Amino acid sequence: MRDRRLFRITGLLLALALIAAACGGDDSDAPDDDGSDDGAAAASDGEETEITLARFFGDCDESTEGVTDVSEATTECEVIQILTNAFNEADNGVTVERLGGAVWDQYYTQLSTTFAGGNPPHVAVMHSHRLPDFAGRDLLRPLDDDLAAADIDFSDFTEPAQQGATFEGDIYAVPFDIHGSLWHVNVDLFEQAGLVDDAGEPIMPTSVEELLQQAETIQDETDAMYFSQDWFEFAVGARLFLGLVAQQGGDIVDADGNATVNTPEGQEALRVLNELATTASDPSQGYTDSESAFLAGEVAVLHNGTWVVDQYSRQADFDYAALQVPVLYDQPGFWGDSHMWVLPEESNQDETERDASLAFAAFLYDNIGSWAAGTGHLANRTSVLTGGELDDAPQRANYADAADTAVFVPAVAGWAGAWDSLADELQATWVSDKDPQSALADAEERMNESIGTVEN
Amino acid sequence: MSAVRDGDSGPGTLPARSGGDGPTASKASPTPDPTRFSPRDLSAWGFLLPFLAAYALFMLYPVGQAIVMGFFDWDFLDITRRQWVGWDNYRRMFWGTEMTWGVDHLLVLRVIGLALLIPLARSWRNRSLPRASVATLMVLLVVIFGVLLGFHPGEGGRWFDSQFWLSFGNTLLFVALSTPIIVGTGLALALALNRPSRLTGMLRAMFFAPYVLSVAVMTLIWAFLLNPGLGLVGLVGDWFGADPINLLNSSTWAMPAIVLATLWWTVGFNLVLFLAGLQDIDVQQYEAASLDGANTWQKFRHVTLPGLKRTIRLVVVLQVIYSFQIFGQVFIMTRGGPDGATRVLIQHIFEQGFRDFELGYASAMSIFLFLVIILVSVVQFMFLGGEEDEA
Amino acid sequence: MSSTTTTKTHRSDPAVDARARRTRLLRQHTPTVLLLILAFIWLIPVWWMFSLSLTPNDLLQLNTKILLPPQVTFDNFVSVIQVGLSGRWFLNSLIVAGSTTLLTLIVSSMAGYAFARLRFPGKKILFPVVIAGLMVPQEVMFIPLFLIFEQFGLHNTHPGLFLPRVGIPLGVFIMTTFFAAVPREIEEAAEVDGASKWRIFRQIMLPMAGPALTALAIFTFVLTWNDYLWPLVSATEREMFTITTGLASLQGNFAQATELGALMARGVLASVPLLVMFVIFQRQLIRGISLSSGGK
Repeated sequence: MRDRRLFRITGLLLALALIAAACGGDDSDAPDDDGSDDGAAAASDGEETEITLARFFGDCDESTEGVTDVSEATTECEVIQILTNAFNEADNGVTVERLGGAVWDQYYTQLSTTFAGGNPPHVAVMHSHRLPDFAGRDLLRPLDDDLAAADIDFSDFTEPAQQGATFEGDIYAVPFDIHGSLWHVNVDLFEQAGLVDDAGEPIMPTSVEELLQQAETIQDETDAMYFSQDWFEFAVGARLFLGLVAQQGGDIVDADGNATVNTPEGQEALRVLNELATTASDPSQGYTDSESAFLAGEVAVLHNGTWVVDQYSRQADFDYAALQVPVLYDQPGFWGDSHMWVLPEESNQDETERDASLAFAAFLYDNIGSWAAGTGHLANRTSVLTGGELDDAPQRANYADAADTAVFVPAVAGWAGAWDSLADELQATWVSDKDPQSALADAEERMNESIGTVEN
Repeated sequence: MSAVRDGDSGPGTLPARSGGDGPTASKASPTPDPTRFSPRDLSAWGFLLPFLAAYALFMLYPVGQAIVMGFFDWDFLDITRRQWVGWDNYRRMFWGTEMTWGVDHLLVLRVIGLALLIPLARSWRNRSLPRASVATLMVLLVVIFGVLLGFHPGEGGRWFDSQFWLSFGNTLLFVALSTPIIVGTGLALALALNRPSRLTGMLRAMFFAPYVLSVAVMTLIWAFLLNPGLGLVGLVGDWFGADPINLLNSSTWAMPAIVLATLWWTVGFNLVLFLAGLQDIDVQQYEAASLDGANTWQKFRHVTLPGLKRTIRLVVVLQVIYSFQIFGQVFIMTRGGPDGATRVLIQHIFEQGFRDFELGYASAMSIFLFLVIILVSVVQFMFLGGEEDEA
Repeated sequence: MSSTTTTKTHRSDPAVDARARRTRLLRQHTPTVLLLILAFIWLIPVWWMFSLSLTPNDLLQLNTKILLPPQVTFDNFVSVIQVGLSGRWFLNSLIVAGSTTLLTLIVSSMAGYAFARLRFPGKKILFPVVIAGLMVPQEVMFIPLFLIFEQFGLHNTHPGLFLPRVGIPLGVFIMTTFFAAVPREIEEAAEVDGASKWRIFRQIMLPMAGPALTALAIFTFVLTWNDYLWPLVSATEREMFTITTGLASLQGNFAQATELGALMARGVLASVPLLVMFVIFQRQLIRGISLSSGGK
């Protein structure tokens, strides 16, 4: 008898689970269903083709609800969401459903998992440094033949943008911007130290000696520290390192795809970084505190990116300028990357869906100007850069040239790990006085452990 | 009192002790009919079935899968690229180039490890623990500390994966630092708060409060708090005119800071378990001890501690397991830095699997960690369980 | 400490008596006062979180070294509540954490009872195998689990979110430990009366396990509520987010600086329900009656 009772309980539990599962099933009757056959069915019988989109930049569905005018946007999230709204609103037979890919720190974990589960989105945003990992596994659709049909003129993109979207000769992405390092300058402090030209523009150093001389002058003439950046959180030091190496004509990966950072150029760049850390900065500062020190007027130069230009323009209560990273050696160069739109191969088998994905990518391509104007990122199309669309946006003129001189990280698979290792080892030199020579040697070794693990 | 508590202590005492609970156990539990297929057996399985079903499906199967993946070069993104590689993943973990063996490599650690043989030898002599388990453990100790840890890359050689050893070492350091601190604090708080009154109720809630925070929120608070430029550390520094350093950016202090933050965050877990455990101690025992003129310390030593033995074992074992699995707070607060000082094994596993897409290698490392935790837990069960017999 | 008993011997002298009472009062209350001080220090980080959540975001960009908000605003909270789906996320979290807790309590207490009290062949092997499940790093099971749930079509459903946690043996470990501590006599008395194992379990053992069950319920609920990585990959539709992943998805920029106040407000909103739950249930952790009379 007691056994029967037990069975009843177990049965009850099972029933509970089933009911719960059924309820769950009801809950997920949201407009889109993941099965591709469903999608095909919807496409064949109807007007609207539904495609899924995975992206970061955040979730701002509420503040942009019903808004289709992109000029109202104030953040990255709002620009991209309003553009999506506008695309959905337009009479094009396509609806874009955004997946919950909004969380920054785990975006690639989440995206990768959808690939592992065989069910990736139709369109996804991707950094150019991640492209080789996915394109190298044939997981992305090569777009060489599709671009013309979608009225996307690839030759209009600037040289770095083209490079970032290409892997082993094929085009795999529609680049959306170039973002990268900038020198955020407190012009008031430069003026106090007498480091402005006749027009009142801050004078930028043209050599390492001038840079360190400027640091000394500013620190003598004002209460401020000359330089700051995030020294240890987001690999910002590695970005400056990459830029300084490139300015000397060096590269951090050789022709065979092996890391080469323990080079004369690398040693010189690391020397400058440590020189800055000890004489002109406070290497205990991270992203947020370096930023708030800059905004509080305690720092003359902040090395950060394009994405903060509008925010600083609004918030700085001093004369603020966003300038290109100064050229300290033979040629311009600064770290850059690109947000790009890719079409996973597996989810774009169906022609109707593929056309819909391409239509969305083309629509975003048409709106690169709005993206650049609304976010501070560099436009990556020559026609947009010269078209006057960005004239009203603050500071853009100061760094527009940068769209041609950005240095992207090399197109090798496994770069995310290599980059982390490089950042790690560089930091060790200013955080715990690791010998620069062995830091670079270790970095090279560790980077090569990560690089190129996808071959064949 | 041991008579009250000795019953069939059940498997709460685990395999190593199996020889120990023989006589008392069979005496205490009446077994009317020890036939093979008694209804009793069936009802036991009935009680177990619901859990075992979930366990098999959501735990055993994935673990089995992970064990298999450990023998493959298993690509996370593209399953069709997987390739059987045998023990290569393990070789990559444990081996390097130009490997040699030296007596002096990791000498201090190995001497400490081998010193554990002394208490083991003692328990071998006085049979306080089953001899078979003691012997196994002694052999393991000799093999691991005497032999295996002596291998290292010689001149011009290197580990295939130096980060593996670095992060495993940091994990061990975290376990060693955090376990006594978090368990001890939890016990002390539970003893202090084990009274039914409105005030202690409030105090319990206050100490437990941080436990309800998610790892994202907890790390957000502490990363800012400990930052001299942004957080309260800086504010206090300003008051006293001091210039505090950024603990999280110091290769010496980052790990202690993580331990501190973890203590703050998770001590509520141990507090609650200890509070529940204290309820199993009969108040009459305290009264009896008071009549005998026992002071607070003596009551703690002779009533509370023995009565809490099971709970202490539960808490210590769980704490060690959770400390071995440390990941989230480190990953968000320091990303393993500075200079690798807080890089822990799960971070390495996570990055290998989900950043570098080497799921096979990541699985192999997870299996290794899994085995280490099992080994450490078995040893704990042996010793913590053994003491219980003596009490 | 050891002088507790010595004061009693001088009972006759009134002056000494008064001093002794003072000492006793002091001794009685000093620990409480010290505990209170410690508790307030303990809560300073939480207090700080509240302060920041009530401060306008743009002020925080200039200064976060504050104990009190220089200017109080509820905008940070309003901006979260305005998110149309936040109610839905909250409900999802309640359903998922509630189901996990309920199922865990049922299956773990049953299994714990069997392991602690029933005799069956294979127990000596099965228990370690089950407890070993605690030692599995969660990251290992992530992909296999993901694929199983993909096969069953359980992603973006509630069971997809709560089922994986039911297989975690923390509850079995806790319940086995506590059931093993229950004196045998109580059970034996019932057995003599001819009660079935099931009845003993339900009518005698379960009521006695109150503190352990409460502890387990609190942990399970909190851990499930705060789960991050699994719900992030399993529930990709906005409607199926939990409050934890939902609020995380609101973060607009990789750096946290621009919306610190909002982040803190989200932290407060996600945590307060758990704290309230703990305050309500923590009383159950102290039974207040001795075990011997607890069986009734």
